[in-house]
Parts: sequence; structure tokens; C-alpha cells
Amino acid sequence: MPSEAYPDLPLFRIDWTAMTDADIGARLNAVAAEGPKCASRTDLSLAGQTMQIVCDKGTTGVDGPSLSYRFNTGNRLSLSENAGGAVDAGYAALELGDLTFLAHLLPGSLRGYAVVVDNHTHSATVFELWFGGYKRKREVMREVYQGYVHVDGQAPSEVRHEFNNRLEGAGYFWRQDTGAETLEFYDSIAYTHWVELSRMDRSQGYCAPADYIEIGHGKYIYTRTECEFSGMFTVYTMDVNALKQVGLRLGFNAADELEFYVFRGTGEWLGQIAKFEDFGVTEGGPMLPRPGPGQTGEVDATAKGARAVYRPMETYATMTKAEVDAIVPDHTRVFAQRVGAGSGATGMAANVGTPSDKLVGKTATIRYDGGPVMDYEFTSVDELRYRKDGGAWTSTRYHAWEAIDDVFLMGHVLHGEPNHDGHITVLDFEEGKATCYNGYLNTPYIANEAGCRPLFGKLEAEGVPDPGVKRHEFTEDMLGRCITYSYSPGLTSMHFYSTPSTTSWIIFTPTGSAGLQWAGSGAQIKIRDGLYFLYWIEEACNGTLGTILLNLRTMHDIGIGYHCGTEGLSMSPVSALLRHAGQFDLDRFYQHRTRS
Amino acid sequence: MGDKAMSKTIDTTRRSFLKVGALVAAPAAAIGIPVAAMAEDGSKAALARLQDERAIEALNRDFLRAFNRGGAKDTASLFADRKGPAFAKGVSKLSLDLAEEPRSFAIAEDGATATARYDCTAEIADELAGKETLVQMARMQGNSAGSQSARVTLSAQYAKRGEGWLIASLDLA
Repeated sequence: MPSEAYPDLPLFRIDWTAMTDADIGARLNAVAAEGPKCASRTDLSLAGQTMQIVCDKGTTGVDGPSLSYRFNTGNRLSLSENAGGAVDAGYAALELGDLTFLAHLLPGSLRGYAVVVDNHTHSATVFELWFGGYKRKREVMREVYQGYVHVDGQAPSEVRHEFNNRLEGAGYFWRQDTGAETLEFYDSIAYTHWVELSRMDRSQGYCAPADYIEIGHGKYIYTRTECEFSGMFTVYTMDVNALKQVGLRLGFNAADELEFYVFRGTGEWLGQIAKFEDFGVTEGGPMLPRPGPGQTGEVDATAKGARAVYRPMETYATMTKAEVDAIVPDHTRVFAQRVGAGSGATGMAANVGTPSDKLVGKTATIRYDGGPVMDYEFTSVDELRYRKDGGAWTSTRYHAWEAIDDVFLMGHVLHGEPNHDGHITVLDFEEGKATCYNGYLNTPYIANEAGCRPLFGKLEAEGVPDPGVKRHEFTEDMLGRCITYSYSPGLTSMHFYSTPSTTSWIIFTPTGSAGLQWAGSGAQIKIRDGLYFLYWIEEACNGTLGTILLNLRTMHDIGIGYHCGTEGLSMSPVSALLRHAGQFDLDRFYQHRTRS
Repeated sequence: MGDKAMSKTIDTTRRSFLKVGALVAAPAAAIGIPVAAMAEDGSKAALARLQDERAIEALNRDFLRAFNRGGAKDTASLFADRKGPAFAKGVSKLSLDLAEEPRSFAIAEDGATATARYDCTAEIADELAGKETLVQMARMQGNSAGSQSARVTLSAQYAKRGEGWLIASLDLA
């Protein structure tokens, strides 16, 4: 367990403590009677009132509770669930126009509630919360119920808040009264992406399952559960016209400190990207678990709180350095022929063009700044000879594709290297530049997870100009952009570049909704206006180094994946047909941060 | 179903299903049938049987909704053994025209079991190939490389338990 609440580590690198019921219960009991903290004034107007909320069935079909609240003071309540015995608890309430948000734990348990009431329509959304997790108890679970507030002498309200896709594609900057600042993107119907601007170093964006519920009149409810990380739960209701939010944060940070507070926040709209459902379709989440990796046989879709959660480590076969070193020499496949289903990246390679023969017969030298020096002889479409730093010549398999005239993407592995390096290189014969994503294995966290070293250099060949000190450069042109990649029928992903070093990918459902989402670290390099060379690593996911050379003029790309698994090391081509889904306005959050 | 051979069954038709809908929707008194008279002439038993038919119809609707939304696993609670159906791989969606007459429908005379056969359309999905992260995620949310529709026969066996009618088995052929 790190000693810092928000250490200088990506969330997927933190060794999250497996907290026990007793650990969690002790910490909750210490604060349950007091209720959540708040950095600003709370709404005390419920003092002396009672409220009965009648809930419908939850999202999974479980029966909803009937909650009878008696608010003894502005921060103490007693609650009877389903006409049972009353339990006293501390609470905090916040108002947002016609809405009242309140939250509390239930002393002596690992449970609590967060409630949003529309006082105008007497409709309510109730989140039953408990520490239960998938495998780690620290992960906050939630079941969502719609319902109404019983009013004596009146018929039950028929108004219900609704899960839908109305928020899909929006992005906001939020600043809480705690000082916490985040970029939050509602870029899926069931997932969310966010960047911690103040608690962390803003370099990396993360993904988590989310709920999106419309109240009406520009008011919504959003939740986020930081599954696979801290398990922290955030819920807030917001008015997107007034750009205000009120909500709750509940869970344990990296120091295992309990965060249990309600907050107010103010926001800024960052933009709206395209939706890809049929026009007029408003169907939304949550997505229920379906048979598939990480879920098969382990999650009951009808269990309280169940929903589709992408848990990449459940399907990642990790290897030791000894295992990697043993398998790679004899099991390396570079652009292997792909025939038939299951033979490799068939689905992602369906749009890959024929490798270029324009390099055949050429020789070239690449002098990377700080090394190495790579000499090449391209002997055929499939084979080249290389030598590194003047060493022995080695023949190896490669492929290259010409992205624009005289600019090629090329990939090959380097044999005999201790970390099984691969070079995925843009050869720019027009400007005399070369940029390489140098993939390697035996990284510190997981041996078969790829690392990447960007290398910039000059390309020397007959008739090629000397660029002097000029190189391709890191860029922020892609910052905030969303690009869809259609690889093959049923397999369309959208990349979202939420920071200069983050690539997030979102998978579209068969009906065109943005669905499951994850993210990794990477970089974005400009080759030309409209031509970008990107990489990302699927850290704590499946360890792939993904690269693409992306042409915004043709809306087409060519890419190369470098991956090591139990079947060995592979380099595989990928290519897709692209659409530009839009761009969030993020520049101001990254000014003065461009890498040198 | 083994019970089928041993039990006397009463066949019914779609027309009777529709008739039941009207009957059950309205209390007997409201449509002018004296309850005592129903008991005397056997109508009470007939009404109970019609209610069974209606309950099975509702069970079918629940099954289709759950299966098409979340796959076989989501339907487990509708089965007597609490397991979903074991359809062939790739069956992703079933369409059953509930207004159409079943190919056959019979309730055992003891009212404890029933069998039915329906014509329906099955959507059979082609699995996405590959092991990449994107492919895994796409499969997990129900994506496929394509699908074909086929007319199939859905054979159902039902069992009446304390909590009502449940599905004993479902087969596609």
C-alpha cells in the first residue's frame, strides 16, 4: 500500500490493498454516525421532515426498497427499510434547484444510500451502495432504483428518471469545492473516461463503468466506480445548463484512507462529439454482463448490482522474464500469413493493404539521436538485412506500407536482443527523417508487457535530403480528438486522445452505441499536417504495443501491433476505415506542457 | 418430456389463447358469468386452464426479452433448474411472433406440465476472430462479425411449480 493517497503512479500500477470486511467496517463505523463531510454549506432544510421513497425494481430486476426517512436534524436521520426497524445515521444533503441530493451510510454495515429527489415531480433515483466488489471488497457496488416520493393525499408520481444516451458524447471540466479538478467525458453509454487534473499529474486518463440517468430539463445523474483501481464511487447530479453539480465521493484511496464527503462543483463544457446510433434513438445503459472474457460463469447478470465491467487483468496471461526469454527465440511471428478464423489479427487486419515493394533494392541508414545507428538493405518485399551500430548483418522478415508518397511505416524485430526489441519505424524519404517506436519486453511490472522508447533520427539514403537538426516532433494536434476505427464488421472502436499521452479506446455495440472502454499510455507524433504516428501500450491489459500511422486526409491508417503472450512474440498489421467523431476543447489544460 | 407419454394432454390452439386474453383480462363477474354456474358446469377448471395458458404466454415473453437482452444466462431464473437453455453456439436472438398460433400446445390433464412447439426466427451470429483486446471487449458486449437468420422450431417443456410456471427445457431444431 502506498503511503500517499494519490501517488505519482498510474492507477493501474498501484498495488491496491485487498481490504477485508473488518477493515472496511471499522473505517465506515467511525464516520457513519456523523455522516459525510462537506467543504461548503449543506442543505439543512430537511430537518424535522419525513420522506417515504417507494422504489421500482432495480436495473437487474431485483425488488426495490421502500425507504422511510425521518430527518431528525439537518445532519442526523433515521431510516426504516421496507418497514423494518429504524437505523440512525449521519447524513448530508445538498440542493440543486428543484433537486435534493442526500447521502449516508448505515452504521454497523458496509452499506449506504445516495438519493436524488426531484421535489417538483416527486420522482427519485436511489443508489443502494455497498462495499462488496467483484473480487476486492474495497470496490463499491451499486444498484440503481427509480421511484417516487410518497406524498400524503396524492397519487404516486408517474414520473421516472431514465437511463438513456442523452449525455453520450459530452465532456465537462469540473472543479469541486474540495479543490479537486477533473476532466470528465461521457463518451459511452456505460463507461466514462476521466483525467485527474489536481489529485494526479494529468498525464493519464482512466476509464470506469458509469451510469447516465436523465432527470429532465438539462439535469442528469452520473456515477463512476473506479473498478480495477481503488473501487472509489462517485455520484453526482448536475445541471448542464447552469454547469453545477452536487454529489458524493465514497471509497478508499491509495493510502487506504476513507473518502466520504459530499461536494458542490462548477463546470465548463468541453464540447460534444458525434453519436453513432440511428437518429432519434435514445436507448442507454447500463450494459448487463454477457458471456465473455472475464465474466463467463462468474457474474450472475441478475445479481444485485451486476453490470458489464471490463476487467482486463482477468484475461491477461502474464509471464515471467524467464518464460519470455524461453519462448521468444523460437516463437516469433512477424507478419505471419493469416489464413482462417482464429489465426491471429484477422478481424483487425481486414483492411490492411498489400505491403509495398517500393523499398526493394534500396539501402538506407538511420542515425537515431543518441543511437542506435541502423543500416538497412531491403532485399525483397518480405525480407531485409539490418545491422545495428555497425555489427553483423542479420536477415529478418519485415513489411512496409507507404502511407503517403515516400513515407513508409515499417516493422521488424531485432534478433538476439536481451529484451526482444522490435522497431516500428516511419521512414520519411521525402524529408530525410525517421521516427521509431522501439518496442521491448521485460518491463518492470509484467515481463511480457511491452514498453516503448520513441526514437527520433535522420534517414540517409541516395537522393534523400539532410534534415539537419529537424525531426518529426511530439504534437498536441490530436489532443481531444475522437476517431472511429472500423476494422471489420462488428469491430469498430473509437480512439479518444484525452491527454497528450493517453489513448482511450471505446467499442461500439451492434446498435452503434459507444460501449466498453479502456485506456493506456502513449504518445502522438506529427509526421505531416494530417499525418500522425501514434502509439499506446495496453498496460495491465494485454501488454500490446499498438502503433498507427494515421492519415486524416484519407481517413485511413496502417498500424503494427507488437505483442508477447504464451504463444510467443508477434508483429501484426492492423488497419481501419476512419471517421472523425469530433474534438473536445482541451488545449488550455495542457498549455506549456508540450514535450521537448 | 417423459411425462408427455404418460399424461393425458389437452391440446389447445392459438384461437383459444386469444380468447383467454379477453377472458382473463376481465373478472368473471364483469362479463356476466355467475361464478357458481362456472363451478357447476366445469368452467372453473376451464378458466384455470386458460389462466395456465396465459401464464405460459407471459413466461415466453419474459424469456424472449431476457434472452435477447442478455443471452441465455439472463434467463436462468425462468427455468425450473435455474439454468438457462443450452442452445448451439452463436444463437444471439430469437423472434417469436406471439400473435401466431403455436405449432402445437398441450397441457397435461393434471395441469402440472405442458409442452409446446413454436416456429421462430433465430439470429445466428458469426463469432469475431482474434484475441486482441478490442475483440475481447467487442465479444463481451455481444458484438459479432455478422449474423444470419434461420427459421427454426423451438420445442418447449414447462413445469408448474409453487411459484408458477417455469421452463423445464427448451430446444432449437
